[in-house]
Amino acid sequence: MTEPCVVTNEATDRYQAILLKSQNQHRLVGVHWELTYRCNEKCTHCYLDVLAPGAKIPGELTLEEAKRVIDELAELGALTITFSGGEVLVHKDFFEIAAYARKRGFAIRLFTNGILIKPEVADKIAALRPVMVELSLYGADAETHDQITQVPGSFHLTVRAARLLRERGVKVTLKAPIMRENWQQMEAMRALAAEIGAGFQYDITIVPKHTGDRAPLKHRLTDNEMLEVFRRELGPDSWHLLPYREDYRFCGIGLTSLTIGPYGEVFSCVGARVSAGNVREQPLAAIWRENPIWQELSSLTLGNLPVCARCELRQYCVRCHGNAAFEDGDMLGCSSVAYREARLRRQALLEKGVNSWSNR
Amino acid sequence: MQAYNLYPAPHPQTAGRVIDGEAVLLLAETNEIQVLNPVGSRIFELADGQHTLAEIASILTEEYNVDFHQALADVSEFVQQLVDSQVLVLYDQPRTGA
Repeated sequence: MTEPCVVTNEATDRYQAILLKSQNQHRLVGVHWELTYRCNEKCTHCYLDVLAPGAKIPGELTLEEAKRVIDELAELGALTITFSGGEVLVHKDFFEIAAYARKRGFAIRLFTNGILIKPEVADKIAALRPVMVELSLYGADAETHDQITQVPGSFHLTVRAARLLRERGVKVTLKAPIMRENWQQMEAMRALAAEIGAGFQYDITIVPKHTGDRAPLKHRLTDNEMLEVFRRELGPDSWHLLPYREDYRFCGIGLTSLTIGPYGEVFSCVGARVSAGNVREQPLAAIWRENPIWQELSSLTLGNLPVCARCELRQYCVRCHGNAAFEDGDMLGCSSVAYREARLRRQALLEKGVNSWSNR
Repeated sequence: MQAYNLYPAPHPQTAGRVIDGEAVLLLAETNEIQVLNPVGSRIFELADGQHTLAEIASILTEEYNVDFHQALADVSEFVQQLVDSQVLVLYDQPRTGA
């Protein structure tokens, strides 16, 4: 018997190695769980058709069903659960569900807009010891943010939530979808996050609603705006050209994670939302181990995407298979939004002397 | 009560899972990831609130063909490290549903 030890050095590397092994073994590690589609904001760009906070939704999983799902996830060996929505905090059983997940040994992450986080709610969240709370931020000032959420006062409530959580030692990230209304405030949003002691992430990809409604697309940056963002954000140190290998994967779809919807639906992921079953009809273990979609989706490598394999922009592209399916009608085909972003990304990088030959 | 008759169980605030024989822990206090080696992982797996330290040492004695007293000393020291890191808690009674 070797001496038992806690590995503190290189733990992250070992964790990455375990994740890689889990990918190869189709072992479930992470779950994204949309507890409700009800929301107390009405964001103009949202990909969900959200419902009013108080809407009566008889189909949402009950507390007992949610606990059973958590038990099944624990049996499957999953480690992390991200609770999302809609807005999770309008779900009356959120804290009980999250506490049960912690009791069953899960690390939890929370996506919320934060507007219900008063001091006593922040206390309850802190008591859950989440790995991270990610708050949606849509601008650096109330006018911009509230215009997007369509809820007056929401900016101040979200910022208050970030501060209350940080005061309690909770790690916070402010996440900003970048769109026409707020792209010029990126630096100010980043500075706000730094001042609060939170991380900052942004996302430039606005997608259609999952119903097919393309209304959110009017908020997408124009070419000139996106190019300007890339000029500011990208450079040799912040962007590494993507490898050109047949087995390269654009994302981890089908490998170690799944998404659960409020009514028990199981999807491949938030973006692609390929249906894999329903926890009310089948045990999760059967859905995870027996449904052929996981194998099909995990085979979406560059070599199996012939359009992408031939594409001159492949080293600049961060396509989402779901966007290709939703917006362009073919999961295996070109994602037009990713193509446009890649084209502009390449232009910005070439202007800075980063090209495919020097980084191969 | 002798320490070796205590029942180690996961700390309620620590997230952990044994993945392919390796225990991955997310420490609540620091949000750090820790990965235990195979022997440590086996101890973490057996620290389910149902086994005493002595029983865990006995199981390891068989599985690794080592001296019981040495195993007990190693297990006790290691478990104490995990208790100090808030990964495990020691109880004087077995835990139901731990």
